Amino acid sequence: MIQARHAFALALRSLLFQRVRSGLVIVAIALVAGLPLIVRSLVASGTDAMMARARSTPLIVGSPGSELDLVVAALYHANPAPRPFAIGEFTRLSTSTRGVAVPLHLGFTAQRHALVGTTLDYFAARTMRLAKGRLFGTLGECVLGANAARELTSDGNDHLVTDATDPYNLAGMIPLKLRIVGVLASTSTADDDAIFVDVKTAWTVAGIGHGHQAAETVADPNDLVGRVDGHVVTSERLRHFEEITPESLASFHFHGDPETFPVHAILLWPANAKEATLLQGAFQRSGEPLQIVKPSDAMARLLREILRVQRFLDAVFLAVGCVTLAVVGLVIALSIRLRRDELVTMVRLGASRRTVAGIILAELCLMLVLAGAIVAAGLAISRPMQPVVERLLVHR
Amino acid sequence: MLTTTDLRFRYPVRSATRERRGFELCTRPLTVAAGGSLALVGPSGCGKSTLLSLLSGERRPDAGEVRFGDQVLSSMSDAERRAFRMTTVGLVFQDFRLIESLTLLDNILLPCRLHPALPLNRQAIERARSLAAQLGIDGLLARRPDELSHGERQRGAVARALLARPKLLLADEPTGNLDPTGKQRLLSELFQLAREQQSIVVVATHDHALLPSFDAVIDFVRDFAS
Repeated sequence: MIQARHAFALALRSLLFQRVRSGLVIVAIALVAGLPLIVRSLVASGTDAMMARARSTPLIVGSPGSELDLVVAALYHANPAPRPFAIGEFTRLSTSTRGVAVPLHLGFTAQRHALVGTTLDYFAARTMRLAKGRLFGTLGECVLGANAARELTSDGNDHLVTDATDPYNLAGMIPLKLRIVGVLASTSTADDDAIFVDVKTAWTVAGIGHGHQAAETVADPNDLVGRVDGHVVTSERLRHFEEITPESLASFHFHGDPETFPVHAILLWPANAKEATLLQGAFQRSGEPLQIVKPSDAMARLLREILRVQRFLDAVFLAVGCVTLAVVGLVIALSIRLRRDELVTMVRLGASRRTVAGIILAELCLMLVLAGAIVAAGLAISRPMQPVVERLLVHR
Repeated sequence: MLTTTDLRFRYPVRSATRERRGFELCTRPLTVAAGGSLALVGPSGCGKSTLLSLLSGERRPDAGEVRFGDQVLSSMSDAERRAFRMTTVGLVFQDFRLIESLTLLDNILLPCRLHPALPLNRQAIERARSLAAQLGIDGLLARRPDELSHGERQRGAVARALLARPKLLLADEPTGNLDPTGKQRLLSELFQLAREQQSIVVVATHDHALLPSFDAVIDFVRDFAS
């Protein structure tokens, strides 16, 4: 029987000699084996992360409607925001419940990142740490998640402007210029992509609160540009955004009953399991205007759907894999047939058929090892894509 | 010494080699002394290559006996005949049969990779280089067969056959496609190298011009005609 090193040496030379054929077979094997593995690994890590996120928030309160939409919006700050309700419900819950209650105002974005209006309790409840700066303290201040900070402050920006809800509506809300006061440490969750502001700042973005800025403007309201005290000023009509400055802060105020201002969800961390059960029971009573949802249950239902799709994908991969392996087998068989003279020469020189089989086996082993290396590389490369998959699974 | 009795070999009717299906070879006894040379002549398809394969142990005769020294090939097992072929016989094929994926040096050393009885060591590599130098192809050892001329490939095949210092060198039309000068030169190199190791040389050819170089000649038409 041929020594392994000689079999592998001959096999390697043959593979290198037929680079294109070998490369195609190796890539085909890698795809057949690797694609299902990579998809499974990505879906598994994505679903694990989704369940972990769901379990990290024991209960969510929101307007009646789809439980899943409420959970996804509250946990991933995803748009569209669920139907709003009055923050008075939050006041009622936070005074009557033992535990932590955090309101969420959703639906706005700033430079395409979700703008989350909340209270400082949010960061404590999620055990989030600051990487830089401080948490928001007054109106107009914001704190960025790690990914959002990487994207938005790369050019040294210390402020950002909220996105216009409808840029073609001249009578619509004016975007608000926010001051960046802190950056959160990465949590590898949806919080990394969000921008956090005080819930009152979110109301200001919504147009519920506003200030009266003593801005220098043109004397004649029909003019767009004019001159005041020797320098150029523009008309109020050309204002692109509103800004809360220390000078204008005092003039900012809200109209109406603050208890009726909107929020979209309340995250609840009850003090204990009994408290959680009591809360869930309380919301079951008829006449209750809001619903309470256990995110882990809602997410488990979503994941069951995803796993059903994955089973279908597995069947597709299996069918494609069988066909591809048959083609690969055919290519190898044809290649052996083309090399028949070569193999016959070895036998005529005195090599046994087992020796020749050993060389072909070594060639197959080398191709499998190289295909395995490609699969391993694919798995390693796909690992950082887990948050992307999580987003894809959530943003339906 | 190489001796045979009356040999008979018939290709099976379902033989893979279409043109050989049902062909039967019958030979008379022959003897070649150590260091001697024998030419097998005859037209294409008369059975020269078949006789060479019986002498090398590649095929087993249906009747008769091939004996090399005190070894009887016809009574050896397949494994024993393979080992005999690898260690005692040097084969030069009609179409050289060099492996396209290997360099000329690797082709010469191929027997060492195929059988544990021939270790691939420094001596083997030096022997391969020395044979290449004697055959004038030492500057081409890193090239692949498709980068060599017909004559260079032929010399490479001869070097591979002589690597294990075989006691029996069997060559099937080794000078085919060479010009007359090239034929004579290759044959004299083959004889010289074989003489150095006291090998028996058996060459199948249909080129009558080469016959004076051999100690003995068997003409298939004249000697084996039934």
